[in-house]
Parts: sequence; structure tokens; C-alpha cells
Amino acid sequence: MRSILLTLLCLFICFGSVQAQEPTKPDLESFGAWPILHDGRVKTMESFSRAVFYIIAGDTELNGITATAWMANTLFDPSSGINVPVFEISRHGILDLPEREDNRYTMNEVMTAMQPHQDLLVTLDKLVPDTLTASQKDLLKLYEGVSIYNQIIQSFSAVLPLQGHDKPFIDGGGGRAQRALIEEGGMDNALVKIIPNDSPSTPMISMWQAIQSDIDSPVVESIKVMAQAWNEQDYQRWNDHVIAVKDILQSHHDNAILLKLEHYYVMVQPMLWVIGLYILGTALFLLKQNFFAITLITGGFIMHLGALITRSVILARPPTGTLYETLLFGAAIIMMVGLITVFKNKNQSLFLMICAMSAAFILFISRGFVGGDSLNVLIAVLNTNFWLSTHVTVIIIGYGFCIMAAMVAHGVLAADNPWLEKLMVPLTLMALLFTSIGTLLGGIWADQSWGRFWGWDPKENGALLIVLWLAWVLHGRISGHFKPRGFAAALALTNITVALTWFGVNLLGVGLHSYGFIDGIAWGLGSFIIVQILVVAVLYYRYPKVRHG
Amino acid sequence: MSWASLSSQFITWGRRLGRPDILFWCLPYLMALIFIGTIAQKYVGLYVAQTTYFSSFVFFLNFIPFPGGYTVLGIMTINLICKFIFLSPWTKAKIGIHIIHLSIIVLLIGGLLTALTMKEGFIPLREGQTRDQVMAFADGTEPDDDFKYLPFEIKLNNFQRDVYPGSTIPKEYESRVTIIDGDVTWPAIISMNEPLRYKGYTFYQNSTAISADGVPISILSVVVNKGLIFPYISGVLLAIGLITHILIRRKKL
Repeated sequence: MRSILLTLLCLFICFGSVQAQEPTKPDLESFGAWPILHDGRVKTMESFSRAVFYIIAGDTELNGITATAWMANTLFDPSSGINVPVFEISRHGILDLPEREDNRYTMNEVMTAMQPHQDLLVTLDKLVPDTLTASQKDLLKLYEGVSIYNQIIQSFSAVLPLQGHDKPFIDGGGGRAQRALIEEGGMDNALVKIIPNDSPSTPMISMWQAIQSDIDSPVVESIKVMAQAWNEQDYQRWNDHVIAVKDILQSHHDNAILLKLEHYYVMVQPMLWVIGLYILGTALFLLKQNFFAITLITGGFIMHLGALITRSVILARPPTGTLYETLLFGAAIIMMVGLITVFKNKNQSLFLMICAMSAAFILFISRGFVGGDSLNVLIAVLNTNFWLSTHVTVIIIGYGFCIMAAMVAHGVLAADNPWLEKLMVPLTLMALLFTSIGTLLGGIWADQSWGRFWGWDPKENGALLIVLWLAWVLHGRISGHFKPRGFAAALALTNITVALTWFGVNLLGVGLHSYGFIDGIAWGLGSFIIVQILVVAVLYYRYPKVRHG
Repeated sequence: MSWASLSSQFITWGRRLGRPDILFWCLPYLMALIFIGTIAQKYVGLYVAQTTYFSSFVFFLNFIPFPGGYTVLGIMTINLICKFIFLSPWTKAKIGIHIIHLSIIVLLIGGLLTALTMKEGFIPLREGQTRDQVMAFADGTEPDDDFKYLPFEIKLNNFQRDVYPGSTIPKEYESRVTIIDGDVTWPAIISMNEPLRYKGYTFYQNSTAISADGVPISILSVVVNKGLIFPYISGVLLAIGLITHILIRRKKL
């Protein structure tokens, strides 16, 4: 919610400054449009800045400074860049840092504090991650941030103006000791890959890599001029060159339009609007304004679909490759089924409201998985569009139906609505169809890739658990072991099995399915399960009154 | 005893073993078993957890014996087969359900066959190298005696390891091999999601390693699994069964 307000505020400020025609601000929008190669794909400088800033500062913006602004400052004026308080360190551990209320420290302070512990850091890096203590993990994470920062401040060191000399390093300026230091710093500098290169396996390289391979690029000259301009605060000159460089760099790429698309995606933050619209729609349902509710929700869904399609186009793959994306996709399925059901039968508006609430909740949870740049490439075993589109898609659709069935069961226990009751078994059957076929498809994919159909690894077990649970609930109803009240309660608890499989298995970090470990989910998952059990227990005992009251 | 009383005994027992009660209590036990066996993996590793809880007839917690995976699945298989034969109302309305149940029987039988007959090992190869020897598993267990050698040779001609541009994130592994089987030479490409099947053996691109002298090694895993086809048949049947049942139910609404 805060991010929505900030986005609005930013737009307002941008609008304001265009009207005021103030030429002395650096054109960060054009700078943000520079293509850069990072984490396996060509992205915008803006996305790169956000990804990196997120690792260092834990956010994409801090105290009004955007990631892009921070990047420009750190690249072109590193001597001021190292004095910006960005590192958040609440537990100092072995580092000797001054006490500060906001826990933010500059690169300078952090480097100074880490200096006496260099050997320790090198040893820590070699240990197995599972065996580290919390403070050791903190330290390593900080070290990672510092290494990245270090790469950035030295990225353009070859062309930056030198104090006491009229020429930068690349033109022969600087004393011998100074030159040796600069050259050493540039030896492994490869993070900021913006210089076009003719090889298809490395289409872009860093400035230092270009210098070391004797590759001449007009971009280097322009950046040299930009560095001079920035340090003289002549932002007009900086702006002229930033656009020229942008045009040169974009001309080397066939997919310049994709970069523009990426920029708008990041700027608009469509998913935040979607959450807002779904929540507003739910509120309007509660206020009995069904028509407006459906309109808003439909609008939100169109935006939701648009976001998914945009992501697929930018990444050239189906939108189900990362955990974050599966959440977006699952929420979309839920909304789609809700909308189709209500268009076919107007009596099902309560169902649509339940779907909107569930989708909003899932999207809200998804915000925790965005990171700095949510547009990620896939590792080798996932890099197969056929299985990705089939197995993952089918499973996520299954999860969607599970959640719909569970939430409808909640609704039946809470309100005893006959229209909802009609939906319980059909939704459960659809959930069973997709989860069981999806699980089998997973086995087939595993057989094709890893040589065994079933390995009892956590993700497989989780998927199987959902199928078994659904089968158990359905059979319990048929055989009479579950009376209607028990059936609804058991169905409502399906949420727990879905949550455990969707998130829980990642926590274990075991087996072929451990694609990534995410901190802090354990607490969220645990509290969710406890709350869910309590809610169902309350509704279960309340139900006889609801039905006959 | 007469044939009549024997066959009625048979049917009575068949009906007893096919009761829904058995399923109703087996399922939560199986779910609990899977849950425990999954958490255990974090502490004892995948292989030990698998052999203790799933690929076993019994396991012990604090010296108390509990039914293992084979036992529970065995009971459920018998229960389902009996239910299928003795307790199924063979009406048009239930045809979807029968197909679903049949698909699960096929799956379980296939699983049993795999558990009994599957063999697995690794073959690491450098470019230009030819081998017919199957190496030990990652956990150190040696392959079975009749699996130590392939009845043919496999040669690695070319190994490609693509990364995403400008990173070390692996994008694609690919091994170009030739099978040398007496007079026959069979060229093939084995990649991350496309195995090679030859004479009942399946070769997969497992992973890659770097040798001590810096040469990339392609690691292929080789599997013999007679139960291979069952899950595929089961999948098709399951889809048909569930969709049929859902469509039949829709007519009721």
C-alpha cells in the first residue's frame, strides 16, 4: 500500500518538474533506459539498479533516493557514493559501528569496520551455508553487498576525473602508485556490463573488460565526458550524453522495444493496482454494490492478465517459472473461474467475492517474493518451455481450484449459502483433476530429465499430499465418514496442505526441487496454519446455529 | 467344501477387503508417513529417509514398529483391486469412477514393478572417451553385479555446457554420443530434458563436473526400469476417468 502512494507521489513530482522546466536535474529516466547485461539477460539499467540496491539496502528506494539515482551517483561520483547511508545493519555482531537509530551505514563505515576481519570473511565464504550461525549469515550477506558496491564504485574508475591531475587514468593521468591501484581495482571488474561486444555468448562486457581486451567503443568516451560533467554538476551536458549513449546502446539490440516494455512494467507496478482493485471490489460487494464491484474486479483482472502477458513477452517464456510467478498465475486462475462463474450465473456473486478476496490475499503474499528485480531467467533443468507450460501450469491451476474449494467451504460453514454449497464438490473434483494430472506430469518430466519417475522428494511428496488429501475428503463424504459439516471443515483445511506444498517445501532445501531458500517464510507459514485451524474450528462449532438458527 | 461355498467365501472376503473403511484409515496414515518422511530428509538425507520410511515394510520409532511405505501401499492396492472387482456398481453413471480406479491400480502395479526391478548408475565421460562400465551411485552403493557393465559401449564425442550470456547460470547441457554395439554405431544427442533410450537402457544427462586437470566431464545416469510405461498409461486413464466423471456430473446439475 505504501508503495502505491509512493508511486503516485513520484508521478506527481515528475509531472511538477516537467511543468517547471528545471534543466539542472540529471535525466535519470534516460539513464535508466540504458541496456545492461546482468544475471543472464539484457535488462534496463533501472531494473539492474533495483536488483542491486535491493541486495544492499533491502528496498528499491531509500529516503527518497531511487535505486537508479543511487546507481548514477555511485558510478559517476564514487567519492560521494561511498558516503551514502544504505546498508541496514541492526545487529552489529563483531563489527565496530556507532549506534544509530535508523541502523543505516555508509560503504565507507562498513568497509572500515570490516577491514580488521578480512581473513575471517574469506574463511566464512568457504563454509557450508547450512552450518552458519545467524550472525555469520548476516556478516556474509553484508560482505556480498560490500563486494557488489565495490564493483560499482570502480566500474568507471578508468575514465573518472582524478584529483590533482587534469587527465583520467585512460588518458595517462595519475601518479604511478595511483595508476597501479586503479589498474588493480579494475582487474576483476565485470558487474556493470554495458559495452557492446561482438560475441553472442557475451553480448555485453564491462568497461574494464573492454579496456583489457583492447576493444574500442565510443561509449567509453561519452562516459568520460559524462563523468567530467557530473563532477562539475553540469547536468545539462550530462543529459545530452546520457541520451546519446542510450541511443548507441539500444541500436545494438534487436529487442529495444522489450526494454521499453520492461521500463513501463517497472514504473507502473501493475500488480499493486490489481491488488487495490480486487480489495475495492470485495469492499463494494460487502456494501451490496454488485455491479460496481464486478466492474472494478473485471478491470483489475484485465490488468492482471496484461501483467502476465507482459512478463511472458519480456522473458520469452510462460509466466510460471519462479515461485513469484506461480503466485501471480494462481491468483489469475482464481479470478478467471470466479468471473466466468458469475457471468454464467448471477447468483454466484458471493463466490466471485470469495475469489477476489483469495486472489488479493495471494497477491499480497507474493509481494514478499518480488526482490529487487522479479524478472528472472531460469536454471537449466527448468529451461524447457514444454514441461514448464504443462506441468507447472496444470499444478498451479490445481492449487487455484484447491483454494477456491477451501474458501467456498469456509463460506458454507459461515453463511450456509445454497449457491456456495452447490460449488463444493465440483470445485473439489476440478482440484483433484488438475493436481493429480499435474503430479503425474511432474513424474513424467522427472523421468525424462532425472531418470526416475518418483523420488519421494519434498515437492513431489507435497503434491502427492494434496492429491491424497482431496481423495480422502471426497471418499470420506461418499462413504459417510464425513457428515456435511465435517466435509466442509475438512475441505476448508485444504488451504494448509496447499500452503505447505507451495511454500513449505522450499524451506527444507532438500532434494532436486530445492531451487531456492527464502528467509522468514517459516514464521509466516506457521502462523497461517495456526490461524487457519482456529478459524475452521470456530466455524465448525458455530455451523449448527448458522444452519438452523 | 463345495465349490459353491468356496466361491461365496471368496466373494465375501473380496467384499471385506474392498471396504471403504480401509481406505478411509489408510489415507491419513499414508499422509502422516509422507509428512514425517519428508521432514526426516532434512536430518538424515533423501536416500536414508526414502529407504527407511517409503521403500520398507516396517520402520521403528523408539523401538515401536510401524507399517512402512510398502505395507501401506500394499494394503491400499489390495483394497482397491477388491473394491474394483467385488464392490463396483457397474452402471453408466459410474463409468468415470471405474476408469479412475483402474488408472490407480495400473499406477500402483507399475510402482511395485519399478521398486522390484529398477537399476541405476552413473557414467562419467570426457570428450573422446569410450566406456561400458557403470559407476557407483552418489551415496557410494555399488551397482548390482549384472549392472556393472553395459552390453555395449558408449562414446562421448562432444560435450556442450551453455550458460546464460555473461553469467555462470547453466542454461543447457548437451552430450553428443555414439553407441558402439558390435557392428552397429548409433549416434545420439542426450540433453537436459531429452534422454537416450537404447535396448532397455535409458541414458540421462545428469550433470557435469570438472576433472582435476580442468577438463569438463559429462555425467550421464543410466537406468533400467521395467515398470517405465505404467505411469504413462495411468496418466492417460486418470485424465480420461476424471474428465468423464466431471462431465457426467455436470449433466446432473
